[in-house]
Amino acid sequence: MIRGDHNKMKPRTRIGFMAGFVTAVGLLVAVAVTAFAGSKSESATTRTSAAAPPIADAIGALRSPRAQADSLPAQAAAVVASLAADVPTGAGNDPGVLQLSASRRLLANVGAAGVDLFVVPTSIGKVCYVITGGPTGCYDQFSNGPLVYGEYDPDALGSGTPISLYGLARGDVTAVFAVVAGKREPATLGRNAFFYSTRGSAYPTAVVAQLRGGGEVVYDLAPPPHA
Amino acid sequence: MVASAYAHLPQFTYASGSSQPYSAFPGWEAFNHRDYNQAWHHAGYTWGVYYVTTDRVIHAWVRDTANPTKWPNEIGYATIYCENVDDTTGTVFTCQSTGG
Repeated sequence: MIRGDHNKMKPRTRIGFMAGFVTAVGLLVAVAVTAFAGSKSESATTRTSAAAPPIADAIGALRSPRAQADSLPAQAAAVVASLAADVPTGAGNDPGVLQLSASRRLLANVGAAGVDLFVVPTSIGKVCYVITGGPTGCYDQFSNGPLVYGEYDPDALGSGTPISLYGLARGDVTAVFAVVAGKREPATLGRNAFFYSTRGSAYPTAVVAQLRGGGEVVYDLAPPPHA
Repeated sequence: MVASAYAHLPQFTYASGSSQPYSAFPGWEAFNHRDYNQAWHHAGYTWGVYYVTTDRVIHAWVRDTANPTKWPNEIGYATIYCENVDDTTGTVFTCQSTGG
């Protein structure tokens, strides 16, 4: 079972929240994170669990032999290095020392744009990722279940290159699906990482992780913003 | 995305403080070249960043639980936004870009 930290949580088998809002730019966003436990019983976690180990400990690919293809291209290395520059003071902002020589390429030539996803561990157990031509950032824990994830659109939102869904996965994740227009579409699942590109202007409404032993966790996603 | 010969301008903070979920924070209504857009926030909660061009089209949108949530690539002429999607912690956030 995954336990969230939101209001009106229902016990054990289904816990979640739904909300919506209109922003100053006319943005309507609804968000939900819902976790289900199937036949597999899982240790409860929260988004801010101090008990969750550093994410670097859960990424087995970081302990696999390192190949030449795991080296960061120059531009990706510069992007990752920028994460440690001019870090504002504040709890949890410091990524630690980036261990660029320990990078791994977890996915190659995936999605509509044929991108690569690299990760870099840090001295304090965080894992920073970079998608070639795409976003970057650092994760500290699997604090809300077996996935950490994001979405992006590299050009005009809703046209050109479609929205992509990506993230890192614990070792007990056997499959990842994007839910688009109510249908589950399989994501590419590589070494502790997944990626899925939608088609056209479609966007994913949820991401689903299937676990070894038959359980699954569903994360509902907010719709993209509107200008 | 428009690569350009614009001068690379210094980083500045366009939004900071404590926030509630479902909030968007615009840079002031100014358009400029931007080298990147990033939001520092409580890790594990979802934040987003994006550019908006003069035709009111969103570009380079990313939404993630990573800290920072960062779009590291430039755009020729746009204003900037960050958004708190589900961060209920009240942790101080900082949204930064270049171009004033």
